[in-house]
Amino acid sequence: MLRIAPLLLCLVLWMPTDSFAQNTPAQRTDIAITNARLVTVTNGVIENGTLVIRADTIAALGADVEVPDDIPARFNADGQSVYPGLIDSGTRLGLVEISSLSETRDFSEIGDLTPHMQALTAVNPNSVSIPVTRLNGVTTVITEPSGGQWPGQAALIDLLGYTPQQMHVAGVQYMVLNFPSTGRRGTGDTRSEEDIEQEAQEALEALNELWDDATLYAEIQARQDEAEPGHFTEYAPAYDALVPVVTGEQPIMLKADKAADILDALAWAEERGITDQIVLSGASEGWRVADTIAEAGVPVLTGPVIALPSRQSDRYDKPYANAGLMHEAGVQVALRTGEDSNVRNLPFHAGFAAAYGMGADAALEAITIVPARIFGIDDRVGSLEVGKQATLFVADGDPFEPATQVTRLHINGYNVPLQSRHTELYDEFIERSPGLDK
Amino acid sequence: MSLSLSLRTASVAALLLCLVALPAVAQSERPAVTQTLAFENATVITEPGSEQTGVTVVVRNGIIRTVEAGASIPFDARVIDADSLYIYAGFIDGFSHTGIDMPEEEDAGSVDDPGNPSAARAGVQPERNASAFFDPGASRVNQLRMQGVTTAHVAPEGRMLPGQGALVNLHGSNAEAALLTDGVSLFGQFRGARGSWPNVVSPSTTMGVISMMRQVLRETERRQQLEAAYAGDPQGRQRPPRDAAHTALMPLLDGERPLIFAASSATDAHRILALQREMSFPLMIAGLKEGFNLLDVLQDADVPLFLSLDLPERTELDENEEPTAYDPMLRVHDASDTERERANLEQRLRAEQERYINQAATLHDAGLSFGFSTEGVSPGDLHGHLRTLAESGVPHDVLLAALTTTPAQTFGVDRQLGRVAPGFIANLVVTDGPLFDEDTGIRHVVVDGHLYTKDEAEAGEVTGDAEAVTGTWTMTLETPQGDIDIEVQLRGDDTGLTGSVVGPDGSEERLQSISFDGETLSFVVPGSQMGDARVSGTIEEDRFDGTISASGMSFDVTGQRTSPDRR
Amino acid sequence: MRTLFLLLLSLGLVWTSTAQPGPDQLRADAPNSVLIQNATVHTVTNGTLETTDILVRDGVIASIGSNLSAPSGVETYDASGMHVMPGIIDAHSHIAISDVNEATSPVTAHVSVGDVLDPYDVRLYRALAGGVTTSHVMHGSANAIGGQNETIKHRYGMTHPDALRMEEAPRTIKFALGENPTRVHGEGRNIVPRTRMGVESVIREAFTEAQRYQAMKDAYEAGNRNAPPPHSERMEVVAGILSGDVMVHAHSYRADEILMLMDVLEDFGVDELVFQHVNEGFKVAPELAAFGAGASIFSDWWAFKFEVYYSTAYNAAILTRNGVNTSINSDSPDLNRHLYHQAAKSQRYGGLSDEEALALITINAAEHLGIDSMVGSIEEGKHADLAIFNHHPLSIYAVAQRTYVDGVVRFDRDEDPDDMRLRVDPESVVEETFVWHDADIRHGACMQGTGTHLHATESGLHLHH
Repeated sequence: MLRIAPLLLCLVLWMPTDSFAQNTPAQRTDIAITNARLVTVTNGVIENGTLVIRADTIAALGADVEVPDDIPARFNADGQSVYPGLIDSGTRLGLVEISSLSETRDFSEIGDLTPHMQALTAVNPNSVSIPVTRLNGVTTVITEPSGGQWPGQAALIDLLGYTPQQMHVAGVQYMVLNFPSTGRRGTGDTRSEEDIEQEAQEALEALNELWDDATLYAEIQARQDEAEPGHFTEYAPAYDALVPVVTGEQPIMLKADKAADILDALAWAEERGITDQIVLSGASEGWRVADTIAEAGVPVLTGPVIALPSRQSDRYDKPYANAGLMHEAGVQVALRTGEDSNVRNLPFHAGFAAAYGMGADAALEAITIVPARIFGIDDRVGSLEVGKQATLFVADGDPFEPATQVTRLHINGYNVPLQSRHTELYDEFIERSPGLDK
Repeated sequence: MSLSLSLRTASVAALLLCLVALPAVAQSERPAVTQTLAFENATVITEPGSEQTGVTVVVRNGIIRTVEAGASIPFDARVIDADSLYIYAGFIDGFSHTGIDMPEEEDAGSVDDPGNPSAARAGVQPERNASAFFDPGASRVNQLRMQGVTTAHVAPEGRMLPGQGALVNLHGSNAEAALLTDGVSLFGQFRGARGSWPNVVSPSTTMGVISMMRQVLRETERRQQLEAAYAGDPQGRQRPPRDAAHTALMPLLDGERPLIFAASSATDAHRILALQREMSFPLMIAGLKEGFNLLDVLQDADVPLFLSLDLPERTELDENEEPTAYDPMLRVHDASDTERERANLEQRLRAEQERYINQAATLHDAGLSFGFSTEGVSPGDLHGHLRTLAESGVPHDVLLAALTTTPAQTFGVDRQLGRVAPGFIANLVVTDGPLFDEDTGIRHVVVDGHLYTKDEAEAGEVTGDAEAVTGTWTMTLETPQGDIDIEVQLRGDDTGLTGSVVGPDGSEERLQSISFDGETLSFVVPGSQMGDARVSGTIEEDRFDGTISASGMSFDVTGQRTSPDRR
Repeated sequence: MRTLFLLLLSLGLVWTSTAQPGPDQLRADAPNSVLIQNATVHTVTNGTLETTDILVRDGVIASIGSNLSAPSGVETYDASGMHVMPGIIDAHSHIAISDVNEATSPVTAHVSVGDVLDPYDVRLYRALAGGVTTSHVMHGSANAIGGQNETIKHRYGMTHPDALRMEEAPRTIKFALGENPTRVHGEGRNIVPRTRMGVESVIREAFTEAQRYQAMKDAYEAGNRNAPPPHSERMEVVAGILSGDVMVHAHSYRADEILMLMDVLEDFGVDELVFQHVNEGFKVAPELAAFGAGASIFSDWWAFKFEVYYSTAYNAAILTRNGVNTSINSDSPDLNRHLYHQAAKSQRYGGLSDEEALALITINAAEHLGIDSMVGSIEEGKHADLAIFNHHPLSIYAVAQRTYVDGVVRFDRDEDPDDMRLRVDPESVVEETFVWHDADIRHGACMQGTGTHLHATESGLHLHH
């Protein structure tokens, strides 16, 4: 084993840089998409419409839009539909290449207190999973670190670029906080109920102490101008990272799944006076406490939708119905897949939510405009509106339907080739040559 | 609950004593005065359903001599006025590891071919015999005996085939003296071989155990054929291969020695019964808890059953909570229904607990006969559980039969054990009331004619405010070898205290004779043949200051209550 | 109206009247005859029939047609606007068994998951709620030659393990090539195989030993030897593979190992073979087709280990277009609840027709398990295993409404309560909640029980336990 590891490491280090470059670069050309069904999300559906992309922006759209003469290109959608790019509110995209190989897993750092870890640093723009993902219309994702109580900072990225900074959207970064959980970590977790309760209680106490310490640290930092020459204050990178959190400047992605944990998390946030600063992530039992979440006005990033119930006694379809039930109770709900290599399934997760009570419109909003609003980027993406970024795709039908094909994709105005490892292998092997005989 | 629980029943007192005692002063028994006992004027339940009053029972040299009214009392008898007492046959534990003390297992390291380990490493050790590992002085023997268990079918501990069971009396200076019948059974269980990853060896799973059972039984069959052929004409034949494990399995295939298999769940019971149908051998099932889920199969199989006496604790309703009717069709739409759901699921849980508690009654109603297994049961809970079974609808006679005549028959000792009748082994339980009544207590137990009398002082007395001591205590024993920390839990109220102690190795023991008068707290940690350990001291605030004494030695003990009032 | 008999309604047991052994805790009084009316029927083998009736009698499809009338005493179900498809067959599952891997030897042919069926597993029901009626429950993939599998019907409610068994199904055995056996044995314990060369060698050696074993037995039978060879459960089963009694289902990913196994089996005269997962099957589709090997694949799983990094979700389409009999399986207690959706992905990735897509989870899977004469399509005389959806089952909006197994309703969206557990641990607590981790949980159960979850991660790799 020890002898094999370095070999694998070499292999892995070599892979992304060399052989997996995109074949065709994305191009930014001003273009008009005509004869299209424009699903604006925020302003209904425009049949037989035209959408004009100029540079990175939607310059015009509507049923009776004249295409300006200086727009060099046309794409006749021939009745196909245009949608805003889909947003996944929680993934590991770019942070892991091959999930069984630890050398390629960059989402979980050592330690329980690592708020200074930034997912953005480890996003691999050349991950093979990225083109695979965007081919299904997913253009924008939250990519998250995980692990201890404070695993680090999640970043909002779009799926086009050669540096993480190119991909980073509007500087959005959330501090991830795994709220102390009283849930079991699987059927192999055989801790007693008392032990679970106690561990969670201790973790919460530790969390409060940490928060107070970080607050003091921040206060001391703020008084640096009173510093005495020759006297050095303490340096703790974890506290440095928490300063913007305890001073209310950076939003917190608070992870809680079990109903009781969600209630505790909301109560804790209220006690700390940070209810406005948090979004809930996970919330697999959110439906059980939907009214409380709605009352608190805390947005929820929930999912995966296609998942197992959290309790043996639960109705089989509760995970499918969860998002819809929260939505019905007035919670602002966005969807997440929690995936790495299969973030492409986002529209299917939304489709399941739609089928099990949420409805197709709300489900589409939950992967477009709602997360855009939650992340404060609804001035750029999340719907088809003039002045917004041209981050959108064309499909020959309902993007939730498996049979639908995405036929054109723009991210930030760039026309992105519809190619990925998966399509390339299809092209090579559908009629292999040589075939059986050489 | 697994049968491996027995691994944790090592007596804390014994452990403490081992740790603290200097060269143990062997406490020799008092010299015997006489081997003759006479219980005068007792109510005798000679066998289930048959009760006689005003009867005198005479026991001499380990055998019941007389059971009749007005019988003459031998001149050398120790006479016990049994005017208000009831005499029952001693109970037979149908299966347990009581008193079994296995030698330390060898290191479960890696082997060259983990798919084909040695028989011993695989856990195929049917040649071992329980009598070699039985210690009549073990604390659990003492504890079960004082609950009326006088005979036990005990098996070695181990893996899939740990060895042969023996029928023993719970009395004797050594295993030979206690032994009634050797090689009564072959014990088996779904327990893979020793060793954790990466040193696991075959079999590591239940399916691996089942397959290994097939392997060893079919190979045994082959060797029997070879031996028969060889016996017929050895010339020109290789000597048949021989090893202890396969040889020990031959009586099983010949139908002469049954396999007693530990199966608490319905699925495990199905699995061993399927194997029995396939391979055809005599079988008994021990420790069954879910028999209610396979009644028809048990009826068809017609194998002796020893039901587990380890009953689940009932989940109590919260205070002020009205019990709601269970709705098996409940559907929960949204958050507004979740309270109703919780109440409903609690009702279901309670109903499920009742199914387990009602197992014996359900089996009885289905015409099935059974004995009991004490494995996994805390001796102090035994009678409470028997009363629970009586309340669940098992007729008292059936319950008594399950403790006496049924197992006696199963093990072929029904001419010696299970009844109070002349000529039978003098194993008796003497109570101060009808056996399954709430207030009945055991006064005497007789094993092999040897009288054990319950210590009246065992029940403690609480006259002080119990709240001053209930909760969790950390106590430190200041021994010459250094400090030893133990954790003591005390529960209860002014009507009485119960408690337990957890030793430094994590083993737990129930406390006896817990007394508190407002100042002084005392209790007994029950021990083995070396005697009990008595702890006594004063309480001030949450501090304890006192001594522990045993075997004529005593050490200081200090304690601190770390959390009051454990739920 | 049917009544759902939960055991707790009365504490007495409810006994079934059918031929199946043991009590039925849920559907003891449910009939096994029904007339389903006015449905869109996806027969899979004979096209799609609009406004069609299906008459089920005694658990068997008696007739298919229009305006059928219900014999007296037979209930009707109005399926207007609904879609009926054959009960879904999951050719790779690890539910309803207590053990998955006997990972103690590179060859464990002697064990069988059929010995440890667990009829109480609520995941049987959850799969029914996605239209699954038959599952091939498999040994794990730790060993080059693993244990025997079992084909079961989802007769959830019946608590005798034998009641789950599909008695008519042929015996199958799990093989595993590539990373898993080399990681468990070679890397983990320094035992051959540590390479794909070693995997081949282990298989060839086992086959050769089994040939010798069988030859010794035959010689004894023929009187040419005065003793049979020492009994070997392991060799008995391997010999069964060579004689064609036990069909090989081989966990495999890479093209080279797929080719290797076909060569080995050809050398030993074994011609029935199904590859499981077979992510790189598309690369050797012509060879698979020439051998006649089946491919039972994931819809879109990839990149969870190195040997599936060069995968494509177009696998189903490429294999199908190249004439390889292909099915889509779950290998997961989550995915098996929406195999209809997994099959539908073959339309996004390669544009399979509706019938081709549905065949992936019905008749093709049935062929892989050797049960296609009984199940896998809606045909007269076949088992009445049916899944009814409110939309076309390949639509994302399809929600299963009812699932019939042998004509008995075993899932009913309108009628079933939430809590469908057959058993509750009396020592459990009411609100026991499991919190699943992201991504990590959704990759196969194949390596359960091998200890390899100790590798590399805080929450387990391909294990969801």
